[in-house]
Amino acid sequence: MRKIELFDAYISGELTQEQQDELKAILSTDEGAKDFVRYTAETNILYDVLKKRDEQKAKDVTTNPKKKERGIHYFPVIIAAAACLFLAFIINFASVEEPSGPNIVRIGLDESGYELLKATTDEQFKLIDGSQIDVKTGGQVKVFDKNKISIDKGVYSFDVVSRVNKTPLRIEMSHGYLEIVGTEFSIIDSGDSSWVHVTEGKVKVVYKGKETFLTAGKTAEAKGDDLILETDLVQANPESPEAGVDFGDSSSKTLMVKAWEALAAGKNEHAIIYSEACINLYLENALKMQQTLSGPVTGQDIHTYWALNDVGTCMLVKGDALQKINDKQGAIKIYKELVEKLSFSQCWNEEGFYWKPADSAKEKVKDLEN
Amino acid sequence: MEDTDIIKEALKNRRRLEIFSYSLVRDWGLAEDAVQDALVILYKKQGKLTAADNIYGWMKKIVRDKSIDIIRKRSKFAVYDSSLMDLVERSFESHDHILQEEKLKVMQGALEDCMNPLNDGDADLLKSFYLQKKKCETIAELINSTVNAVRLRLSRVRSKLRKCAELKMRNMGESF
Repeated sequence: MRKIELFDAYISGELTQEQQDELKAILSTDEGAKDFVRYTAETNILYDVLKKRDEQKAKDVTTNPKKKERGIHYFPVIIAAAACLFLAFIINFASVEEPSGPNIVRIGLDESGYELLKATTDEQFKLIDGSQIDVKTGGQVKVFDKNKISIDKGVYSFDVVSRVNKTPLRIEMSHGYLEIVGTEFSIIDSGDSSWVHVTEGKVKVVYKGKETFLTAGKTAEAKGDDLILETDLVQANPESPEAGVDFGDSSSKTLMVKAWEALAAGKNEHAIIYSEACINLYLENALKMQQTLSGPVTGQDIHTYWALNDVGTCMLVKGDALQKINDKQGAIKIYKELVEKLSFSQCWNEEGFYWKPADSAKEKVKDLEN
Repeated sequence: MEDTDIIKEALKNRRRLEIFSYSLVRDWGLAEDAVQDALVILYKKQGKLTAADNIYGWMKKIVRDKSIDIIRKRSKFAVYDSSLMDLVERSFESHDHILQEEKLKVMQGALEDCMNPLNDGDADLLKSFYLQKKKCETIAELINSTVNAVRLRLSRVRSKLRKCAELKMRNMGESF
């Protein structure tokens, strides 16, 4: 098989086991590796060019629709279709108020230029009142009207022109919304949470019935059911258990490793925070993985059960940390949960073998109950 | 280096990072998500990173982890071959220079020119596979052909484009 065919099969997920081995052999050589990188770069360009062409084609069709509909033989069909549509409208929608929907405007244009805005990287836009939005990592901004906008996943900086004695600007995020009278602030919306940091002035944050005012230097994060004031919890109180906690990329492996390290360093509170984060985020995946198994996995396949292994280990770490702070009941509870729910989880030992956190938990429960 | 410079430095390498992520996740939308997530992490780390840090290297590591997470989440608990992923990663470590923005721009110009003379059939084939992400099997059914014939034709069109782009780049004094 030619290299390009193999690379194509790889990107479309159509590799057979034999072809996969062939691809590995190619990537093991310097020339093959270079060809692959080049192929991927070319594929990126091809994708861009094809997309651009496709969009241009679609634009041409919408800007010149009459060209396609021209021709007397279409006339009766058009009349019939229009009549059907009109009837459908009378029957189905006449009594329903037309949904107002967002007027989607392109920021920086006048109010007649309604269009969805997909910001490209590192671009700045101005609202009609002169307020500035700096879209730092791409993202989508919808402008409903001059007083209301919504943002999609992304990183943004705002400099809102003073609206004293006027309607505040409302910014809807994936989690909650903000009301602004005039200030500078940043938003990071990851989809799972919305994080707001105020540089200047005052911002009202509203989320799930809770609301708070953030002043300069303050940060809040809306996540799950909580609206958390980070400055109050962490920076203002270095003795707080959360102080110094850094979830890194929040992957199950990172959290599990951080939990182990914290436990080894005697930072039991941190070990609990990291292991709980790991359990909360990945327990669902771990349970699904456990359900597919009838016994512990062996060989290379162990790695594919990443959530099961990481969450199982985190449960054990949490139990150990709870024991160390003398929460015996809490420790027994989490050990038992591990034994009942994630009995096939496994953990790598640097001496070169896998062991089962559930076996260890079983022993610990015995010791604690005796 | 100020915080904004760090973000700008990361943004300058965005395309490069997306190509790297794509090599692992094999979907442009997901690759974009991985880089976006890494940028969010970088933005949160503002003030903690300095000019001495290799921002691109740092971002690449985060993008790598995010991409692996995406693969694992997408395939639920299906097997993913870690040795193949390692080889893919190593390829990008050794030949990262290919992804320099200037080079990519020149290559883009050359490839765009080379695509103009393509016949409709070849252009449609590229669109179906690379843009619409249709499997070779589906394409084969649509055009009454065989999977092997579709693969061969795709690779021939790609080879033709590559040769044409190489020639154009050479005329501009550029090469890979």
